[in-house]
Amino acid sequence: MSQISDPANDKTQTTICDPTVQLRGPGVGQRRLFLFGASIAATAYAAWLMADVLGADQLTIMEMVVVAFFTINFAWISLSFFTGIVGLILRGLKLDAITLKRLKPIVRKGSLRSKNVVVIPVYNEDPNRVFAGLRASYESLAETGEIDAFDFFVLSDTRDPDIWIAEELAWAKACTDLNARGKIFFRRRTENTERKSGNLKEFCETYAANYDHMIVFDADSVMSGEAMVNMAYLMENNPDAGIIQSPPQPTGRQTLFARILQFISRVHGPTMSAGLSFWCMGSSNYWGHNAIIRTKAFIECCGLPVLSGKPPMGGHILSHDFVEAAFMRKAGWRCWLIPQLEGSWEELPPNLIDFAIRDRRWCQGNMQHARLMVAHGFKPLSRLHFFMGVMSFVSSPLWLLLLLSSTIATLQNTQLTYSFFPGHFTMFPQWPVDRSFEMLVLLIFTIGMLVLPKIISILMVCLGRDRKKYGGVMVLVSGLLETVYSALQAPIMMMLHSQFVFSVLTGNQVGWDAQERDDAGVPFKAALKTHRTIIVIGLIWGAIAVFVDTAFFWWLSPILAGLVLSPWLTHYSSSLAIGKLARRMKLFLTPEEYDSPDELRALARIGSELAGGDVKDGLMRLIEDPYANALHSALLPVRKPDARTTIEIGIIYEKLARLGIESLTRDEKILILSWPVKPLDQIMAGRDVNGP
Amino acid sequence: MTDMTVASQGFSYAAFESAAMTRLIEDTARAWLRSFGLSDAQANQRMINALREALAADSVAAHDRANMQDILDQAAHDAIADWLARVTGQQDCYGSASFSMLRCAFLSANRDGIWSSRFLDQDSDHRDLAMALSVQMMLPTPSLKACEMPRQSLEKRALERRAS
Repeated sequence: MSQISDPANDKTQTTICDPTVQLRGPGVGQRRLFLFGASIAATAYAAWLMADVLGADQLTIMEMVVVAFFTINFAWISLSFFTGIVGLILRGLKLDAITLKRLKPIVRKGSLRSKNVVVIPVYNEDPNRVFAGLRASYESLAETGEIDAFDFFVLSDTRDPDIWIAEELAWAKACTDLNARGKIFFRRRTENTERKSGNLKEFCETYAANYDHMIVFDADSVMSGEAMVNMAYLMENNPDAGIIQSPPQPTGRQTLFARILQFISRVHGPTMSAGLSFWCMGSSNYWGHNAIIRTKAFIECCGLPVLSGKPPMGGHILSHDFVEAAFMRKAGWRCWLIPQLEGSWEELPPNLIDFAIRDRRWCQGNMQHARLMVAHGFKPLSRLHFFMGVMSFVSSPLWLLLLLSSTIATLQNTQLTYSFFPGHFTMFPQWPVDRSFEMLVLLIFTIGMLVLPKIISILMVCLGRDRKKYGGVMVLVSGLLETVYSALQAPIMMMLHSQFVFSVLTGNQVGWDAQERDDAGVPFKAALKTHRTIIVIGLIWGAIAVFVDTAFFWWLSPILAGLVLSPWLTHYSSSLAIGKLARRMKLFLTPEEYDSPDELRALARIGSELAGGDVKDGLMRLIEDPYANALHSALLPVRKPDARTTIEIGIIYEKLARLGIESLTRDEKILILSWPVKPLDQIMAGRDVNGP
Repeated sequence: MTDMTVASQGFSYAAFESAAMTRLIEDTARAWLRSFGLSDAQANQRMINALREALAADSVAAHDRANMQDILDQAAHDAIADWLARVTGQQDCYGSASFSMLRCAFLSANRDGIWSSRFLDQDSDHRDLAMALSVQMMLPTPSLKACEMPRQSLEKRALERRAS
C-alpha cells in the first residue's frame, strides 16, 4: 500500500494559500465548553425542577423513572436549543460561524488549479430527474468559466432493466446536447455490493485517482456552479480539509407536507447550520451529498469496515457518511460545514409516508452507529456525531417511555389515599404540597427550549430585508401553522420511530429502494391503513387518561390528537392542490419559490423537456433502435460469457422470439442486457415474423 | 446469383453458392447494414461482396463448421472493422466496445444519411468522415487509474499492528 498522506505535512501545503478563505477560528475549546456547559446546566436545572415537582410528596419508583427519561430527553433538546441560540446570535450579528469575523462572500484569486469530479451515484432513480439535475448544474458551472476543472460521473447501480437503458440514453443525450463528450461519464456496476458506499468505493478504485476532489451528489441534488467552484477553491486553500459540506436547501416539491418542511428548513435551517458549524469547527459531519471530498484522503482512510455479526446491527455499514467523516477525522483530516455556501439544493419526500420510509432506512443505518460509538480510535466529537445520529431515532422511544411512565405514575397516584398523619406521632397534619406553579414553569421551560430558536428564526426573517421572499407578513402565519403542524406530526413520528427502533433491535431489515421523487399524494384509505395501529393506541391511551384523571387527559391531548388525527394529517398534507393553494396564499413561501435561481429554473426547464423520455421497454428499444443497441454494447464491460451463460442467454432469446418480450422476467431481461443484444432480425432469424 | 470470380483462386465462387446461401448472405448484409442505420444499395452491394470474398477465402473450412450464420457475422464484423480502421486510422476497431462505440459515432454522424454511400467504400478519401466520427465519438469513462481503497479496521489490535 502506498504511504498514507499526513494532512499536517501534505505536500500540497507548500503551495501558497489564500489567507482570506482559510478555515480557522478562535476559541474552539471555549465554544464547546460553553455549549456543553450550558446544555448540562439547563438539563440539571430541568431535572431538579422535575424531581421537585414530582417528589413534592415523595418520589415513587415510577416517578423516578419519569425523571430519568425526562432528563435524557431534555439533554437532547437542550443541546439543540443552545446550538440554535448560538446560530441566531451569529445570524443576527452577520458573523462567520468559523472565523467569527464579519461574513463576506468568497472572492477567488485566480482560476482553479485542481481537477474535480462531480459524482452522482444512482440506484433505480428516474433518469430524467437525475440528468436534469446534472445538466442544470453543468450549465451553471459552464457559466463560471471553470468547467475545464470539472468532470461529471454518473455511477449507476441500477437493477431495473428499463431504467438502465434509459440512463444510458439520457447520458448520451446529455453529452450530445451539452457538447460534453469526455466531460460527462457513465458507468454501471455489474454487482452492487455494499450499496451506495460500495458504488463509491468501486469508483475510487478505478477512476477517482484522476481527480483531486470529488463533489458527491445525491440523485436529486442540484448545485450552482458558483457553489461548486467555491468549494473546490476552499479545498485548494485548506490543504488539511478532507471534507467540506454545504448545507443543502430542500426545494422543488409542491405538496403541502414538503412545502411546510421546505419553508422551515429555509427559515430555521441556516440557524442550526451556523450553530453546528460554530461548535463543531473542523470536526463537522458529512451528510452524504452536496459535499466536496479530498479524493486521496478518502481513498486512503475511508474504506469502510464490515461489522461483525448479522445485519441489521452487523454486516456492511449502511449510513456511510457519518462513518467516513469519523475516519477522516481519525486520520487527522478536517471536516467543515460551511453554512454560508449557498446554491446547494436537494429534494424532500413528498409526503409523510415516504418521509417515514426514508427514515426507516436511515434508522437502520444510524442504529448501527451505536456500535461505532465505542469503537477504538475515533475522535470524541465523531463519537458525539454517532450518538446524535442514534438519538435522532432513539429519542422517540425515550419520549414514548416518558409519556407511558407518566401515565402509569399518574394512575398510581390516583390509587393512593393521602395520609395527613404519616408514620410517626404528630399533632400537626402534613398537608399536600401544591406544585402547580413549578409544573407550569417546567412546561414553559421545556416548550420554550423546543420552539424558541425556531420562533426567533421566523421573527428574524419577518423583520429582515428578505421577508418579501418568504411571503411578507404571511411568514408569521406560515410559522404559526408550521408549529401547529409539527406539534401534531411529532407524536406520529414518535410512534413510527419507536416502531422502527424496535424493528431494528429485533433484527428486521429493510431493502434498498429508490426514494419517491414526485409530488405523490397519499389516498385516505392508504393513510388509514398505515396509521390504524397508531389510531387504536391513541384511542385506548385517551380512554385510560380520561379514566385516570381528566386533567391528565387534557395534558396529553396534543399527543393524542396527533395520533388519532394521523390519517387525516397524512392524507391532507400530501395534497398537491392544497400545497399549490398555500403557495398562492403566500404561505410557506421560500426564496427559491419567490424568485427561482437560474439553476432551479434550468432544472424545471430541462425536466419538462425530458419528461417525454420513455423509461419503458428498454430491451425492445435495444432490439429495434440501432443507436440504442450500439450505445448499450459500447457501455458493457469487455468480457465473454461462459458456456453456461451462453446456453442461458440462448434459451431466453428463444423464449423472446416465441412468446414475446412480455414473457421475460426482470432477471431474464437483466441477463440478456448484460451482453450485446441481438437486433430483431437476428432474434427472428428463420422464423415467420408475422406468424402466430 | 452473383457471378464473382475470385481471381486469386482461379474459379468462379458463384458455381458453389446455392440459393439458400445467397439468401443468407443477403439477409446478413441487410441486418448488419440496419445495425448501422443504412439501407443504401451501394453499401449493401459492398457488404455482400465482402461476405462473398470472406466465404470464398474460407470456403473449405466453412463446410466443417456448424453455423454458417456465425461465419457470416464474423466476416461482416471484420469487414466493417477493417473499413473503420482505414477511415479512422485507429487499430483498435475490432474489440467489442470500440467497434460499438464507432457504430454509435457513425449512427450519430449519419443521422441525415450523408455518409451512407461511403459505407465500406475502400477507395475514397475518408478524412472528412474521420473528422465527423471523431466529433461524435462517445467516451464513457476516462482512463483507468486503479488503486486500492483499504478497509479500515475497528479492532484495536489491528490498528496497533498497522501502526507498527
